Amino acid sequence: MKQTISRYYFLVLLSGFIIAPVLSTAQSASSTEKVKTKIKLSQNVIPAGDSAAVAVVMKVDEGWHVNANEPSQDYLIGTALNIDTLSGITVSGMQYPDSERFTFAFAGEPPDVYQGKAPIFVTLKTAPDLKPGSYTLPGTLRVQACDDKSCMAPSTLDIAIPVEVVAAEIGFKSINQDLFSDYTGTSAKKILKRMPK
Amino acid sequence: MKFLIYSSVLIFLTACGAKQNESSRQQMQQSGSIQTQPVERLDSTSSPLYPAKKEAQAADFKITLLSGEPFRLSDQKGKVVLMNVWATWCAPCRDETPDLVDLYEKYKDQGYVTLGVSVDEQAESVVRPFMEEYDVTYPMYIDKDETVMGKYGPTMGIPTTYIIGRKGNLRYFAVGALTNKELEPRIKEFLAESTKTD
Repeated sequence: MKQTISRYYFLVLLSGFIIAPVLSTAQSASSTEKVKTKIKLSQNVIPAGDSAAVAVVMKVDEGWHVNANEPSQDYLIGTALNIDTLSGITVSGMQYPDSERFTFAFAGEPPDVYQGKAPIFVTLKTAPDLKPGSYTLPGTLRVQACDDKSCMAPSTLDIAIPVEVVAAEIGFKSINQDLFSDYTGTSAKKILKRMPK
Repeated sequence: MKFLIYSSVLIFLTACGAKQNESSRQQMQQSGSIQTQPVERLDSTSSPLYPAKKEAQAADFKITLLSGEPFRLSDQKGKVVLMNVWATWCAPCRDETPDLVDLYEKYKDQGYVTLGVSVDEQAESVVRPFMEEYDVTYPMYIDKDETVMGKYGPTMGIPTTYIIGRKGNLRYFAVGALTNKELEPRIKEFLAESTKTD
């Protein structure tokens, strides 16, 4: 009996050894391998009825780029951020980073791209009657990465924006202000006001 | 005792498997049939070509081309086949296409064939206009059900190009845009080979 269990155990593990590499090679290389995201807010909490800026910061691997939101060629897949709205929280003022012209090694038509660290800004506005608490706004970021010779398959990254809403009369602390100095969206005036002169 | 022996064998095999898996990634797939060092580049603007081991047979597949004609890789034995995996949204793919068209037109009557394998999700609606725009005359297939990529994937990026010799063996592999300055001498060399020397 013990011998049978041992053989069975061995066969199960051996099957795992054989199948695992097959499953792993079935996955295609995609742009998610070259792009990571971080979420940054302009303040630690949002009082109900107030607004705050959010940056979805893309970090594109060195040597790689993603297409601009409005690509220079119509056949390219542009970077696109989508944030779902929640009851009591609205999203506005989406601002993509300034793009750069990228020259390929083989001197093709240079596309407009984002490289390195590139933040996409939005403003979140909370309703005055929104109940204090923790909320999460889900969203997606569509990207398609290339280097100077090849491209990865386009992919959609899931994002989640954590929002801490407090009562209207409670204060907040401004954070990450350097990051938001380039933001000219609906929350920009408020942020610029806080920036040291 | 037997359990211990079985377990030792398993640990050894697992270690080999992990090493092989890592090696495969580094060698850009094809289950270890690609060598790690590229051949010397003839054109610095071209992506490098990686040579395959002589004994690596190209995996066979049977597809229906965009033209409606059947295409089976094993039926191409005796020809040099360049299989190019691409998409319309890939700028490097677009840039190498004129070279691939020129190469096909120049050598198609000498036993050379290019097979385009599009991975565009929008399929014909984007591939046909592309073919018209770039005057693509070589056989084209849209790999919606991964008939080809199921055997040749995953790719490290596109374009990905496979060059198969007259005897049906995989000879070169490349990720990234290629130029004719890089490709043409290789194709000519393979065309000069007989099916017996592949």
